[in-house]
Amino acid sequence: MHTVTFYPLGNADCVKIDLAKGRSLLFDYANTRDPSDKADPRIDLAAQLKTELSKADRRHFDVVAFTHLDDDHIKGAPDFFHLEHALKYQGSRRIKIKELWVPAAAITETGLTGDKGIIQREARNRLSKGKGIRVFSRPALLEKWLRTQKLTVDSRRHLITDAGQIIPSFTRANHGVEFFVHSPFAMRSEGQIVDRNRDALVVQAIFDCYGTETKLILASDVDHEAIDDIVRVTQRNNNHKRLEWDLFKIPHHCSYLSLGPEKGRLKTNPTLFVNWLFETQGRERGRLISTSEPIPKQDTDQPPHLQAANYYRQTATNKAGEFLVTMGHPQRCAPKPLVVQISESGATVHKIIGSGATDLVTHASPRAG
Amino acid sequence: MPLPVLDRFHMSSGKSIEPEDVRIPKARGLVQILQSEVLPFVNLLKVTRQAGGRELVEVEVRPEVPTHPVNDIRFLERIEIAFDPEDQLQPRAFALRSDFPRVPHTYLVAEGKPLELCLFDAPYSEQRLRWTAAKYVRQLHFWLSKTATGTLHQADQQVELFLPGSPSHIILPNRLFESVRPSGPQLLELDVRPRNAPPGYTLIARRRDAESRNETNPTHIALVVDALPQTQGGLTHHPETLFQLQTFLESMEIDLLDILQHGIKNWLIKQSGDPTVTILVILRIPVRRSDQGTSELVEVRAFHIVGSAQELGRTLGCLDTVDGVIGAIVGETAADCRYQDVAVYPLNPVRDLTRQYAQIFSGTPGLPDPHILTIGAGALGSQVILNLARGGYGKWTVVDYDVLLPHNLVRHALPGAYVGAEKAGALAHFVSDLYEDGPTIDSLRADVLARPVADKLREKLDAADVSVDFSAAVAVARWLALDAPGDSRRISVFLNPDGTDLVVMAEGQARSMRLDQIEAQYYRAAIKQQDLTGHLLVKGERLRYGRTCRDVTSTLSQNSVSLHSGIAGQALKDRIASPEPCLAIWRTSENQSVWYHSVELTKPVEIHCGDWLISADEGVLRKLRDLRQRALLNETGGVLLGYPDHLHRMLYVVDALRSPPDSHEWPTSYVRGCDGLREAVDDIASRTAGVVGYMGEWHSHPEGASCELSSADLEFLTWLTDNMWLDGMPGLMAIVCEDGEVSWHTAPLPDSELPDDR
Repeated sequence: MHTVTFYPLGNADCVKIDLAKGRSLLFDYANTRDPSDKADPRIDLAAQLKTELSKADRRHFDVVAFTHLDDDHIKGAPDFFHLEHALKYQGSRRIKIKELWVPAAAITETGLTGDKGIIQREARNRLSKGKGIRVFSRPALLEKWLRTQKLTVDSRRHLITDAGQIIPSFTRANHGVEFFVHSPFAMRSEGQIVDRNRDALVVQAIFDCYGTETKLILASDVDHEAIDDIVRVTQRNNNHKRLEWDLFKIPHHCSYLSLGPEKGRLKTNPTLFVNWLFETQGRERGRLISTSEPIPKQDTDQPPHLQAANYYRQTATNKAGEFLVTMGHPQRCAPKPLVVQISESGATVHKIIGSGATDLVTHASPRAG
Repeated sequence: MPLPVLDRFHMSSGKSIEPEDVRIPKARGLVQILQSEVLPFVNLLKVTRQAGGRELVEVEVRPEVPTHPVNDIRFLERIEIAFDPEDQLQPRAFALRSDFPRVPHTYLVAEGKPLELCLFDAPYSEQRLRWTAAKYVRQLHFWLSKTATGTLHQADQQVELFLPGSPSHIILPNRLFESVRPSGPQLLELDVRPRNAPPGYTLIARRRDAESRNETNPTHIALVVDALPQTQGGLTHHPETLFQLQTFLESMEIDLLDILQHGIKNWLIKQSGDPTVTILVILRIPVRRSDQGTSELVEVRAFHIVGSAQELGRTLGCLDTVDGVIGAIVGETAADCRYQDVAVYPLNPVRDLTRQYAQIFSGTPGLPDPHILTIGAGALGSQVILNLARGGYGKWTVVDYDVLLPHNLVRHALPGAYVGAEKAGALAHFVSDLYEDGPTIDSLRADVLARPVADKLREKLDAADVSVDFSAAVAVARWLALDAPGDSRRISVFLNPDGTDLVVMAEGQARSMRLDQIEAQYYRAAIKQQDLTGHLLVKGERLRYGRTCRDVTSTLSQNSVSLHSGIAGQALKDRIASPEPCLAIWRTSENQSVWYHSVELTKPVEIHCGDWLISADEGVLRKLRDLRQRALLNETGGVLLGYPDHLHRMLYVVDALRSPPDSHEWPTSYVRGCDGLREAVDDIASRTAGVVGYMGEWHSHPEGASCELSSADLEFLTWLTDNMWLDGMPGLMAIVCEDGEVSWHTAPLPDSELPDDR
């Protein structure tokens, strides 16, 4: 049985995948909680992950993927992980990363500062050393940066995975899962190679549990144009199965821009390709998971947008599926990690109604006078 | 098959009210906790009040459901909870989705009504003590989640039917529940057992072997009809009139009227059956989980059609009465249109008990099923046999010679109706009635000690895997050990004279240690082990003359026998399952705590000596060697303890006493003293209910000397023999010498005539 966990971090991402045979992967890490605000309902991600790791008797993740270097995907990561490029990010309490996954932009982008700069230095350091890294890109794109390090593309080709490929680190036979890369990729237009949507890593994971396939799409923060491109390429290559899903991490915290150009009054109208991805490719009892704040009752500028949520909700209902929001699970007042178990029966979202007595005996009491 | 996009829901009648206006306290409790939103995954939708004050709380539940559930439970289910204004009935949960599947732990309901969920096993009177709205909600959520994965039910448990509307049960043969090929309509005869409070009653299908015993006419007959396979989810409702039943059967391509008309005519005309019997229809529906699947089990439904066979026959237009004589109408039959309204009551079908189910219900399926012959069907034996047979364990042959007398009822498994009957046959009869699938027990009235052994007894012994002595007679145990034919493993089970202790002696699978050899070691344990002090005394005193050590006092309570028969039953199963020989004792204290004592057995040693067979064991020999070793360089000696079996010409040596303090020990000779010896021998006799006593003498030879009799030893043996002759016993002498060798010596009795068995 595999487990996929989505953490309640507000409009931010962290998805943990624990494989049945013991490997553990993390997609993004954004510890957004404000430690000075006791009422902040967001989870203390560092503390939560450390507790889970210690229960599993682990000190590392086999993979940590940063789908792109935005704050809502990397915040606090340099405080949590053991980074190889500098001693000050090392220490016995830090969590090691066996293999770091980043899109090419994380290597090539210039002018990055703060946490972004630190993660970039770590990724560059690993790529330059030639181990503990995987970069998602067309290999040629990295040629310029590699040349500055006096390295060739050929010497690093085995560490680079292009869109349309399966990530070689995991196989169905050995790990019960395979990851197919949808993005970042290059679109060929008018004879020129144009790199677009350079930021985000989008993958489809197919879990195989005793012959039952469960398909998960992790869509990072891509917008509707990026999705249109992904769908177009996938359809052109007759690769429809690679966009099927039972579980879908909704892009960009339920922003309408990931569905279409217009927000709409009550419901966002998706583009044709986006609609195909959700309506046609979603399987029966599929789940749409929004890594975001609870859906507001009124129109808002910032995501999550209620109009987008209305589209996702309708899509879920049509499939006898469900639409879930990390900050609303199990309840808005007290969100907890959203845990999905993947077994031969498919995906099951943990829904346990706790008891008062059980909670009391698992927590310290407040001070008595 | 795609799931329907738009769910259809049952609508409940009644007036919608504001949540604040709820009157029934439990309903109010539920509404309040849902409004406070402290419980996840359950939301309040609306509240309705019906005429009569019943209040309905409609909720939306989000259970834990996998992508591919075993049962079609949705991520969102609408459930209505109905509260009784008097709080006499439990709050009932109904699934409002109209295509909610028929799953285990649901009640069948009438057409057009929502399916009711069976959330709790315990009756409401019990639930009420712990009922809270939060707990109810949690159980509802748990029920839906577990049902989704098909884990609410134990895997091998069948989908059961439960009809809250029917107060009546119908007990049916197991074959009806098994998937066998349909064989056309069958007829069952049933007897009714009315209950004290109408309208409840129980119908019992006659067992085939019981029919011959039953002289009376059946009160009910059932027509058994086989239906075509159906998908589980569709069978949610039960019909309430003959017309609804007919329509229900039509959907399975069964012509109910035709079956009833033929069945009634056949019963009344061909079989000259009683026209006042009531007609039942029993439906066997092979059920599969999905439309494509093969049927996994047979759902049995039973319906009671109101009215007698005769009345029904007339209504159906297939019978008429001319001058008081019933006749069948020939040719086209025209059913009276009133038939449509004839009421039909559903019955709760229950399987009759089989031995296999007895094993399952006892939690011991798949155990070895040995053929056990028991000798003695007295208090302990009858109760052990009944305990084990109730659990479906073993195939039995009961051997006893006695007849059940009134005083036996105090501690016997059989009820008073059997007084005057032979115990063996009566017990077999009683046990056979437990199961539908007939007897696995037979009986033989025989006295096993009678000579020669009856052919029938010999046959039974040859067929048995295990023979158990429950007779409480040493002679029977000895016969079983030494004389009984066959190669069955022998076990002896008895109580001590006070009835406080249970003893189980069991030969091993290989029978390398006989029951009589284990018995000898049992006495040694009684002599030597402090834990067993008082084991063979009666109320703390030595036995009176004429009693044997296994005579249970006549004032023993059934409580003691019941306690020990429970232990003995399990012990018997355990010993039979283990290949090792065993000697175990369970002692009960005054506060009914039971203490288990297992005695370590040592290898038996047997030596022919004159015309006697001396039976000792490594334990005795080890003691002789030890005592010799400690006395070296001098000789030492003492007395031998044991008992004879004159019938089998056996001398059992169970223990030896060390040299008394006033003895003289020299390097080449030994004179045994007698200081305290008498008291020691008497004490041993009392600890063993007089069984173990003085048997002879032993002494050691020094290093370098053989085990041969010296001239002094020969004189010693003559002295010993002359004295023992007074008791009709041979003189027995043992010499222990170098390398642990032990030689045994007897002198022939002066009088060759053998004394009788005691």
